[in-house]
Amino acid sequence: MKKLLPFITMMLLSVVVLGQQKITGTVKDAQSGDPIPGTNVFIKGTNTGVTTNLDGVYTIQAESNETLVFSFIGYKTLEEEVGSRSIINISMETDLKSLQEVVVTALGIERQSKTLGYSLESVSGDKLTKAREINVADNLVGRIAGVNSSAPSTGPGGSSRVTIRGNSSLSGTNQPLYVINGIPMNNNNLGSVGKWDGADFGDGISSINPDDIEDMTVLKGGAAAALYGQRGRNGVILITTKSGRNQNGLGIEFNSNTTVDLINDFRDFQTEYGQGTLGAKPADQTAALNTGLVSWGAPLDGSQVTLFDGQQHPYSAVSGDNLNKFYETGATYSNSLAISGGGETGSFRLSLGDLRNNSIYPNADYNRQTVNLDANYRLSPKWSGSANVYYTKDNANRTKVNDAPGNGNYGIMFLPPNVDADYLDPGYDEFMNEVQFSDNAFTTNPYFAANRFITETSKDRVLSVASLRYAPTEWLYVQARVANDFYAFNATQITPTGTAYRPAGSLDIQRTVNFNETNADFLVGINKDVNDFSIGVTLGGNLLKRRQKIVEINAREFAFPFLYNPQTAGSVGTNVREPRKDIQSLYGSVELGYKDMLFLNITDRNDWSSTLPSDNNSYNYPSLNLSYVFTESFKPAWMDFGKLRAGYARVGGDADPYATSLYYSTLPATVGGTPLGSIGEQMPNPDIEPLQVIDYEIGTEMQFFGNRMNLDFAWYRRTTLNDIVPVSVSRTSGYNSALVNVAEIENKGIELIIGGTPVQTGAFTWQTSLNYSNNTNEVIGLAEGQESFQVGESRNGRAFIQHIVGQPFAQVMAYDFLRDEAGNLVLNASGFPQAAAELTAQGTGVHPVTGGWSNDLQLNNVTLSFLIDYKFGGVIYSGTNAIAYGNGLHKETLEGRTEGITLSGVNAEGDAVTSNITAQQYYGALGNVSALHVYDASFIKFRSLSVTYDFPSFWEFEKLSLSLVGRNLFYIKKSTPNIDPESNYSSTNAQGLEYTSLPTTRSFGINISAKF
Amino acid sequence: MKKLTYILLTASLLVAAGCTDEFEELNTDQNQVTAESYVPGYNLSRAQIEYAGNSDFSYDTWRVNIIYLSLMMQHFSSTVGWYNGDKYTQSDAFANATFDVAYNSQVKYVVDLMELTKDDPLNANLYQIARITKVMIFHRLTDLYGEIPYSEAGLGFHGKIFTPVYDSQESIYMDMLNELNEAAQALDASADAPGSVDLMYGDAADQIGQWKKFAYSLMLRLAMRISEVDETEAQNWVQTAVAGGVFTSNADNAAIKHDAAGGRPTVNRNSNILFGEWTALSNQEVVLSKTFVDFMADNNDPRLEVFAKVYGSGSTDPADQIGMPNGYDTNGGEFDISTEPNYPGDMANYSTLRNEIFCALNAPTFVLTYAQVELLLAEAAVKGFGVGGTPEEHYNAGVTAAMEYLAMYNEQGTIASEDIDAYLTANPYNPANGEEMIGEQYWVASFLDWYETWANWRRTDYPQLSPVDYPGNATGGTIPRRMLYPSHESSNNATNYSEAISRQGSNEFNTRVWWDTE
Repeated sequence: MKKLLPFITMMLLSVVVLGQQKITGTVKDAQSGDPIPGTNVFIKGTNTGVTTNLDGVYTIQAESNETLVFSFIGYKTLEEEVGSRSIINISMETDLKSLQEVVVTALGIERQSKTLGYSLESVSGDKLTKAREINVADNLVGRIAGVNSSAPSTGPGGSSRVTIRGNSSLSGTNQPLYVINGIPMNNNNLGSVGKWDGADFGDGISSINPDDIEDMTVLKGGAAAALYGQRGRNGVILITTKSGRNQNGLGIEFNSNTTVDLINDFRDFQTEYGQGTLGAKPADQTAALNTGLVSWGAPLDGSQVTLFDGQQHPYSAVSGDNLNKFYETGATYSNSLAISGGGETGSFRLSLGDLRNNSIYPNADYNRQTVNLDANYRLSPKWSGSANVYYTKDNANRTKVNDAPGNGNYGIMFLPPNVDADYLDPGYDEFMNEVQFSDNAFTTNPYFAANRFITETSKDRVLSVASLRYAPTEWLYVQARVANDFYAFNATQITPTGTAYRPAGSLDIQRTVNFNETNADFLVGINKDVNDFSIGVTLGGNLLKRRQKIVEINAREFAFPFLYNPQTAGSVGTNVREPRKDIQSLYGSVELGYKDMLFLNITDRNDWSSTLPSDNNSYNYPSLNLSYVFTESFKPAWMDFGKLRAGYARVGGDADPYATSLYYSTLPATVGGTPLGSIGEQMPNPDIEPLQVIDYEIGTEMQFFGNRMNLDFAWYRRTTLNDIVPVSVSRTSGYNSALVNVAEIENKGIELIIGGTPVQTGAFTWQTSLNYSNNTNEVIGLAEGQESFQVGESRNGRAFIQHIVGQPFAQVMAYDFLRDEAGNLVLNASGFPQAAAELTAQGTGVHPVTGGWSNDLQLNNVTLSFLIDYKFGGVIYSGTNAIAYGNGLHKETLEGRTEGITLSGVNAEGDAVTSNITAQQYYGALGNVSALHVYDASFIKFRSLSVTYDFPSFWEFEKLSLSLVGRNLFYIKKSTPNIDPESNYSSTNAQGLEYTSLPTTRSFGINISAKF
Repeated sequence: MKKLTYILLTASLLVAAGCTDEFEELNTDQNQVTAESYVPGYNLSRAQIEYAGNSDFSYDTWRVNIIYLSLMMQHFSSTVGWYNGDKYTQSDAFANATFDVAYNSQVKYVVDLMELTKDDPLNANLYQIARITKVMIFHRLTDLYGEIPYSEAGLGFHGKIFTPVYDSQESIYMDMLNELNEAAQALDASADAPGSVDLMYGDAADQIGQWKKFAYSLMLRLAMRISEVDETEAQNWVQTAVAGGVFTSNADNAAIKHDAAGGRPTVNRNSNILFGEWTALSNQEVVLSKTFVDFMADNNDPRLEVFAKVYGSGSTDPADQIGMPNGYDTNGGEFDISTEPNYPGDMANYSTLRNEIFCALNAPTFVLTYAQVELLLAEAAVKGFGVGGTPEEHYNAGVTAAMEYLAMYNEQGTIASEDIDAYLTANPYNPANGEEMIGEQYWVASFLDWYETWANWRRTDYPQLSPVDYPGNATGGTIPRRMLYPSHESSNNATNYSEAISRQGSNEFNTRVWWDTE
């Protein structure tokens, strides 16, 4: 009964040499006492070895002066001198720093961690499943040095934003490549929020059920990712899902997680003055409608006033609890069941996952079902095959965010102090027409928005891979693999019949996306040891075919109310796009090792891309890295392990499809049969060249004091050259943007991890890890003569996200006061302060400093884990605060309400003037001075807490644990008034804008995990 | 087994090394065409329909033409706060709307059209029409904003110019006049006729002849625009225009065709906002201004019953019409409309525009009318520019044409010729205040084209409008003289933008453009 093993291990085992003495024994887990099948047992200094069977038993021939080495992934390697013993039983301790062991690197090649000349860090699946996020990428926040994970506040099932070692592309994605079981997964953002109202349609990684994840490995630098080609230039996250490989017979795993989500209300608005304008309360219903969101009225006096609904209501502060009235308590139910089995020739694992979320936003929800089947089979000693299929189905009803139309988050946030949310409920009349609370029809009644607007998405995704491997000798293997990533995505956005600004309603988007990417690849691997040297050579090739079809329909003027079928519409617009791309690649890697001490790895890859001009579509890029385990030559007593590493890599990249020619089309309508021409808003570039990222890193890993303490330090520098960027150009050029090879951008920084086990007594263990990273980013150059490149704009057009030459990525640009050279305010003809004509940089929207402190305290069967994370140095423009100024809700607008604001400055001619204007005029004018509403977004957050009780083994349970969990609990420090510093509404490069997002939440729940 | 290895290896290498011959075809978008397969004339139809207003929900028409200019010109009035033009309050996003969209949706197409046709003998006339259309577009843009990118504009793709310089308005005007002259002369009746891709004269029997007349009529309008700042140039160009042949009847009127069936992209832009997809009239967001109604009522103008009806009763009886004064709100305070001295007791008793005549979704958008041409000639005659005819003859022809052309909106807009004669008899041209009378008539005649109404008003300061002075206005209580640049120019075209402001004056309502002398 031999257990099927990871392939690489098999090769080591295939040679068994007869010896003089028969030794047998059992290998067990030191803590649980369970046998460990598949443990490598070999004689030190030879290739002779065996592996333990399902019961952990091994038998080997060895001489008495030889030493047996016992190793298994995740355990500390042990050495035992044979001596006169014939039975050697072993208890193996789990290795807290399993990085010392075999890790999966690029292209699924397994290597010993110590041989790597670059930085790599893993998170085991169980860190992602207790105090969990719906989008597993959001769980990375604070966990890994150099990884900046930030979730936009757009609701469940929204996208994530993960960057590794900063942002290296001005306009393209800066997110890493996700590789699921060897399948590169498309992580396209399926719809994010721009300047206007919109919704976040989620991304690719949101399809993965955290319960299926065995391990997430982050390859941080270019050297780690060079073999993945251009998609790996922002780093790679390898996700390995659980398999049945280590299963002894049939196993059943069950996990259930239930959480409730409560809103955070960070507002601290004034409650002294009520609705109205010019210091007066609304005189009648019309006046109340005119001032629907205006709080420049009279002091609240408790008198009865007529509001928008024509009813009398008390003129007193009643709106304090509006957010809690409008938003609901969210709930997330996440259940997973897995069955796995293993035998001599194969194993399988089948898992089912079900997630149901009721959002805090009324009528919004998110559901996700997953099925994962992993199977592998040994056909013969030389042939083996495996297959994995990951199917996800999700559907969501989402909320709009940002601008007011159809966005319930807007109206509810800014209701005057005397307007109770209940007055607006349910937002429609008996004919389902919107009940307006404001004369501005585009400010939708929040209840109408929540109850009647529709933003639905659904997605079916299948990730599949099949591979066949042939290993004719122990030093050679050939592998062929075909992987496919397919999804069908649908989104529907409807402005319902009865909407004040569009009474007939409209079908705004009906989008269908069919995405299909096939990767066919092969690998040939050779591994040989010659005396003190080890040699590994891997050669491979990849053929990528990506095909998409995107069909979009919008329609208006429907024949029947409440029916939004395009066929019944008087006016229909359609748009069909079919981006296609092929990349052909060849690559190779050579690994040389000397005496377990010095390791050199050289790689090279050449890509041919269809999206580049045909005379310049080939690009080649090498990488080189070196690892020196210095403790092999010099080892102080207090140090267990130490290595130095250095790496260099170049990675190339291509353009989007169809970017080399100017295309013409027409508008979707004619004038009496005459078509109306149409040219895209982005200028193509027939001479585009491949971009390049050049990456250097050095670092060290050390373990001290009997592996009680570890330290990892890295320094890196990444330079992007020739970045292919659609630079925003003056619209007077006729276009919004031009695709050019211009940009140069540099990221350099350090990463530090200090961790260990400060306390380890019999019953009590404390493991802790602190990570810190500081990334310095600089935009070195843009197109000739261009100093800035815009990637985002706030709804009110007063703040912008731009990349500025000489400054870090994503500068928040805003207007300061207009002043003369002496610094005096320049007042306009009516005595108002004005905003300067030119924008000034306020700081970057991306935090340079990120990190976290994670802790696991275990006392007998109880484990308490918590994570505190922090981000420093970024800023955010708060539309909420700007609006609260203009509307008279901000506490600071109390100043000058009675006596007005007296200003002194100069007029346009430069003569000194003074003016006295009302507070309403003054703070209204300050809405334009957007620099006032840019805040330091730094924070320290108590991110997650879990208390887990592991039941002692009983009945059929192999494992049973119960956890109480909390996530996003509270800020230890923040400096943004009225808003959450983590309320960016976009996961694109336009970082640093807030504008009435969905409120953020904190979650509490319970997690039950069982294994039979 | 070795053999199998080699097979696998070789096959895989072949796959990867594969051929890249198909890459070019693969990287060609199958859902669009390149220039080789395109019909250049579709750029003309697009530029024209966009000149009539942006295809995205009448973006610029709503914001600039209606929200600002119709109210500043006191044809309409509004109590609604965000109809900023009523009270000269500042909304940058509204005041920059035309600049914001015109380059992408108008300039790009006409410049691309010129590039596609400039050396093509089969499109010789189309090229000249493109030049004239380009002038038509920039004429409006520079009138609104003053210094703007012109000589380098729209050349992003063909000229790789990403940050066009701002040209002085003077140089823009001089070049536009030259362009009109050259294009008009180069139009060749024996060469190509673009036909239906031309939404202005595509249906005319003599398409090329009409474009010639349009070019010279536009030249006349440009020339008169600079008459205050450079009278000599103005006179020269007026004479060139008259010699070349300007409009001689309403049949010559330049108007862009619309189609109700196409929705947003093709319907009449004013109609779509006033009484279409948006219903500014039914919402009483805009009503007829007291200034406008009183002007017609005071002179027994037969146009009053064509323009006005009572909002509530629908009565078109001129005696029932009451215009609402500008400068009021409904906030219940000092400026509440109910405090207006002649408040008719209810908003519904104010007059509104007769949408049934002016707001059909397929109504034409008039670009330049015979009435305007005659009134401009009347003024040129007053100035002694040597245009032939007396001021009075041109004035009478202009007023007559302005009354007759209303029927081109809708038959119900027909005014009987005896009513026109009666009006002219009762209100004869008076040389003593000739320029004022001409200016007032131009103001009425250009209703709905508030870009032109406002430009001519700024130059002549006729009619003498009384500005309102509402708290929080941005001008110190005077009617704005200029619209505002979009802020993205300060980031995407910073150097040129700053230089323009330093030459022209700060980016505000009170800064005057070059031809608008004090």
